[in-house]
Amino acid sequence: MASPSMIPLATITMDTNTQSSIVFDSIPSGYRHLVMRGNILRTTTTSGILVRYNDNAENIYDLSALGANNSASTLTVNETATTGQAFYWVQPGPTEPTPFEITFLDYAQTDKNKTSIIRVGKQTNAVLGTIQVWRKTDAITKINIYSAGSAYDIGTTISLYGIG
Amino acid sequence: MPIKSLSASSLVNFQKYSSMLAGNTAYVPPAYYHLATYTVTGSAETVIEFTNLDTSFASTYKHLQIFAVARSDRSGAHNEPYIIRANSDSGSNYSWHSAYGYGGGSGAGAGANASYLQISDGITSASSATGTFGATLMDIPNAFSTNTYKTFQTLNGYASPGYGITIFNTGNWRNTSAISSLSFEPLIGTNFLVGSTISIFGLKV
Repeated sequence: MASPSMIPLATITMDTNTQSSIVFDSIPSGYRHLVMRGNILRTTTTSGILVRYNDNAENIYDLSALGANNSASTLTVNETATTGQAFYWVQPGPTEPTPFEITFLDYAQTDKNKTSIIRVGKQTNAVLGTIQVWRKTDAITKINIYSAGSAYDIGTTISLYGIG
Repeated sequence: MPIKSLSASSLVNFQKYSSMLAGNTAYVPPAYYHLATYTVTGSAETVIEFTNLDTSFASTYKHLQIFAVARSDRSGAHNEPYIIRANSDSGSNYSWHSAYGYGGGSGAGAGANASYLQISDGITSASSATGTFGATLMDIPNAFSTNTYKTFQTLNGYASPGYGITIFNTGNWRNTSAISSLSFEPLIGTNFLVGSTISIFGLKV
């Protein structure tokens, strides 16, 4: 029996330009996957957008990305870091909103590491597909979308949905 | 508290509406539905198959979206492709292209007139980090059309210390039949391991 899916859980909109973290906390476990969608503006184009789960800062965030920009037909990377480089070469700044979508697969299942699929692009930076793995089997209950080196600007909006 | 005078209550405000909505926002029903999920439990399985898709869903849904989280028992490698067949068709009716990046470089692949649709490097295998599964986000637009060939597009891959790959795949099944079944199986390894999960969602028009 089909059941309605894509249930809105929360939306955060920046009405100041002072915060560098957008946090979704106490995420319920009753869905199969999570989808996050939004537009990001920042006060300056400095560094990138990082993702951290459950406040975990271990060196266990694996990343693979494929993309392209104006000067390089293909951009690829593999790395392991203390935070997930969600956008890598794509660095949101002021005036040009950067749209993105992140799918968090099996986010509450405790039998596997957590994998997310990220799609992001910005006309003046790059377009990118990213696979990110948080090498822990814990259920994700908190997601921090962290802006490194620059605050989120007014108008940034990010929504989180539960699906399945 | 009992209302003694109806005219003094909020029930009567003499507002007239030209619409049956009477000032309320119209209800817009959801368009995105969870149709089915299969998770490998207990012991590894060779094939994951969804059947009766057309009879169950074609009258209500237009497009399909699939989420796959999968790991196989292939030994001596970090990952491998998996294959898809529609309606149990094993004729030479599938083609695909892929573009991939793996940190050390990038490349492209293709297959023509194959007996399956290949999702390149969509699942992890024995050499990947314990507990890490390959991930796929797949769209099948117009899945139940009886006028057009069926197309598939994905963003998939995995990440593991020192290894990983990100791939865009697109392909087709050259048949105008509505999709009635979809089967998934590892191309090189024998089985999907326990914990592998495939979910299907439907989008209404």
